[in-house]
Amino acid sequence: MKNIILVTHAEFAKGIITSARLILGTTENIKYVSISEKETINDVAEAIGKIVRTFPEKSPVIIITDIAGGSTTRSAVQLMSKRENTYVLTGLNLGMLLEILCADISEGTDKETLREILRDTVKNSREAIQLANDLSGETEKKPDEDLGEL
Amino acid sequence: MIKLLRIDDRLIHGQVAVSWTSFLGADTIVVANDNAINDKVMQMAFNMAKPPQATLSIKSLKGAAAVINNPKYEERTIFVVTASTEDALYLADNCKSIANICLGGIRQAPGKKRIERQVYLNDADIQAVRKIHELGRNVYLQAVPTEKKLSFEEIMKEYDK
Repeated sequence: MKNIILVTHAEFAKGIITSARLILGTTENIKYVSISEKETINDVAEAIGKIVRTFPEKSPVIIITDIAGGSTTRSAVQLMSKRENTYVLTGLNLGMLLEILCADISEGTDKETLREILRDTVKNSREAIQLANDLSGETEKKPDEDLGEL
Repeated sequence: MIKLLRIDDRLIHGQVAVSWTSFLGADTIVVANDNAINDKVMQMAFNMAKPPQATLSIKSLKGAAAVINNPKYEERTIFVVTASTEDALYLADNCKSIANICLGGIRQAPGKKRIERQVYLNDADIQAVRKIHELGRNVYLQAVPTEKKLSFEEIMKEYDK
C-alpha cells in the first residue's frame, strides 16, 4: 500500500483521481487536499498532517502538488521538513500520477531506492511534455526496411 | 529476453504504455503491426506515447518475429505489442521465446462479449487464445499492472457464461 496525497488548488486533485481510475481501474489509497482562497499555508499543512497521521508511523509518504512555489507546495514542504520519509513532487500530471501508482514502492522500500524511483519519475514526467509539431521528424527512417533489426 | 507480449487494439497509447514499460522494466518496445509500418501519423503518436527511457521499434508482423528471434537482442528486455489475438497467435507460433501473452485492451465491437472492463472477445479471439494456450504459452488477461490477472481458464469460463 502506498501513501499518496495530492495537494491542489480547488478540485484538480479530485478530478485527476477519476482520470487515474479510468485507466487503472482502481486507485488504491490516494488521499487529497483541495485548497481554497481561505486557507493559510499553516492550515493546509495541518490538513495534510491530519491525513499523514492516519498512515503507519515512519512509512513513506508521497505528496504531489500542482504547482512549484505555490502554497500547495509550500505547505507540503513544511510538512516534509518535520516528518522523515516524506517526499514532495511538484507539477502533478496524469503521467506522473500513473507512474507513481504503478511503481514498485511499498512500506519496506528503503529510502535511497525510493528517492531514486521518484527522481526517475520526475525525469520521465519532464520528458513527456512535448510539442507534438516537433516530433514529426522522428520517424524518418522507414520502419521495417531492415527485417530483424530494431 | 521477451518480457511480455501484450494485445491492445490501440497498440501503444498514453500512460498505459508508461505503466507497463516501467512495471516490466522494459528497455525496448516492439510494435508488431502491418498497418503501423505505413502510417506516419500512427508512428508519430507512438513516438509520443512511448516512455522516454525506452527504445521503440515499429515492425511488420514478419519483421517483429525476425527481431524477436534475432539472438543479437537477447540482452534486451523487450515488451512486444500487437493489436489483435490473431497477430499474437502469429508471433507465438513463430517465436519460441514469447512465454507470456497478456490480453490488455480489446474494445467493444458488435459480436464481442465482455470478459472484463477493457477486454471484449468473439469466437475468433477465443479460438486464437486457445491455440496460444495449446502452444504451451502462458496466456492471461490483465488490463493494467495493478489489477489482478484472469487465467486462461477464467477467460474461458467468463466467455462461456
